[in-house]
Amino acid sequence: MMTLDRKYRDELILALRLRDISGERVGDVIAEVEAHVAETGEDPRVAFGPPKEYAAKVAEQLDTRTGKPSKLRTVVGTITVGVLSFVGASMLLSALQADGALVPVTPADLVAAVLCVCLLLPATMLTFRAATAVTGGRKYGVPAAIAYIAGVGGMPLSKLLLDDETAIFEITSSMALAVGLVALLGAILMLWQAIRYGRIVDPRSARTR
Amino acid sequence: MADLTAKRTQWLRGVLDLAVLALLAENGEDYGYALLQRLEQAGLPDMKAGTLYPLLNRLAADGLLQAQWREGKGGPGRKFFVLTDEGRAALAAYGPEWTAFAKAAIAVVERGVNR
Repeated sequence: MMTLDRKYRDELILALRLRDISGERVGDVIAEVEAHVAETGEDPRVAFGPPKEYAAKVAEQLDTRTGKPSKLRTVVGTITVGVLSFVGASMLLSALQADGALVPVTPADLVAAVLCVCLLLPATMLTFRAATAVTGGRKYGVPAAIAYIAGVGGMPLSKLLLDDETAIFEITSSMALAVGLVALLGAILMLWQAIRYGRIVDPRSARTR
Repeated sequence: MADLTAKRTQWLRGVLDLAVLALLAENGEDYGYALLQRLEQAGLPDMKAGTLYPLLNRLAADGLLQAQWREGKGGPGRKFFVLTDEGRAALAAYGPEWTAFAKAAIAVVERGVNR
């Protein structure tokens, strides 16, 4: 019985993953290719085409019901994880530094937070797009580089140029600690969900692999 | 002029969903490789597994087919596709439409060829 060569299998899994296809659907596609190759003895590159091209064909026929998340959901999910991680980490650090005193939130803090969410998160998403795009990677790469430079440069600049002393509002360190922990827990739960979504399951044995 | 195999594949893509529903209507169910063989035997060759399998899953997602993995005898198992009532209804609705469309296309091409 002919078996699917490991290189093709690994490349197809990677190509499907880069298209954000669910682990359940990836497992199903791999099982189909394995079964076909085992029965026919055909070269998978001839029967299904190169892994990247076959992944594109599979993705073309999928929708949100069948293992492809909507772009909106992906964008909202990524931004939410980024915001929760940023808020969680900064609140937690502030609470620990305050050591029982009040935690001030300054204009510079708010601008730095906005820069992080509005520039660094899209920059990360654009870099991923640039790396995974079949064609036209530069279309995403150039805006990603600009957003990175603006974000990374803007954060320390905002601390230098803007008021980082006067508090717009203050919160107790215990409140900052609670907000930080809840936000980080939320980010971890969302990441856990994403890991579960991507776990490949073999439909023939319903086993995770 | 594009080679004939590429042309045939292009033509077949336009009717592949109906052809699959029609083949499954004959015996109710089948699996991917067997359907490829039956398409070839029916005079519709050159269809690739890489085109048929995603389409079968699309039809299953639309509720026209139901997919079931079954144990293979010493093999890796086969994914069978069973025609649903919705699939039969789609074939009954679009089949005659396609036939009329194909007849019109044949008539146009024949008129041109026979001039």
